[in-house]
Amino acid sequence: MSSETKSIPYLAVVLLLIWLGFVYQPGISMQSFIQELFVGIIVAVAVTILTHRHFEGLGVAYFHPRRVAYFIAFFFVFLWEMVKANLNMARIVLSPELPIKPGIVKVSTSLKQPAAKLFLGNAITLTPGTLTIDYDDGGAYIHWVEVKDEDMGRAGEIIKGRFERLLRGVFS
Amino acid sequence: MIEDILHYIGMAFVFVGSLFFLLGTIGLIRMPDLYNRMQASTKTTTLGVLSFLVGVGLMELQWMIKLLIIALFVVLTAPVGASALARASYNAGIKLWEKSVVDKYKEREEK
Repeated sequence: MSSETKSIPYLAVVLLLIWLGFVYQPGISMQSFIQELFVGIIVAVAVTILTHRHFEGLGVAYFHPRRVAYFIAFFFVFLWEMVKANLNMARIVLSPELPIKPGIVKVSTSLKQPAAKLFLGNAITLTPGTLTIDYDDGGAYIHWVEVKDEDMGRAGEIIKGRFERLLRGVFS
Repeated sequence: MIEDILHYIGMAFVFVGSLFFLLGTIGLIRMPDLYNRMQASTKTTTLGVLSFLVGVGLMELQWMIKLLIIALFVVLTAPVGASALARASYNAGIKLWEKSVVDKYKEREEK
């Protein structure tokens, strides 16, 4: 309960910052900026009141330097994996014999927080040849274009790569 | 001078982005079943959109903040949408390609 109530103001601040990022332009007049700010505050507070109970998190604790460092590392690993995924996909769709061997495998994950699972699922979906289909208690079901291993542990090693370790650094 | 250079770098990004769109479309046509098609289209369009947005941002620097926010939303939402579509299709009974090697999701349902 206490962590829930603590995170309410941060949600409004984040929403307001996103809004200001959208409306800000170099050379905007003071008057119209104040108008935008005013509307932004109203909308951010309204959205926060309506949706805050769906958000759970640590609030300002996310800005601990260790978490931020892990997140930056995660971000760059993620970008690099995404480029690799696209080159891999390009190789597959451009080769005449279409070298695919699809299937759905299951991998376990030790991440507990819903946000961490979301980031892992997203990262898996956007990286080479894998698409997260569903989560259940035991782990994630993943569609894989080139099944290299059906075993839960070894497939997990290949698919999750470095993501899980980095995400554990961010969220735990 | 610097603006010219940024303009050409931006054009290169836009070109790479459209190349990824082309690859995604080819994948969409060539892949055998829904799940493989979604794999091809999700990945390539996400990186294509990112590349496009960064390219346009370099060409028009005052838009950069907005474009980066849009890029963030695309990266966060595109894979969630793909997962939801794939899951819904599976539960609606769309079969995997007959040469698929393994289907752990089906085994879960039989338990």
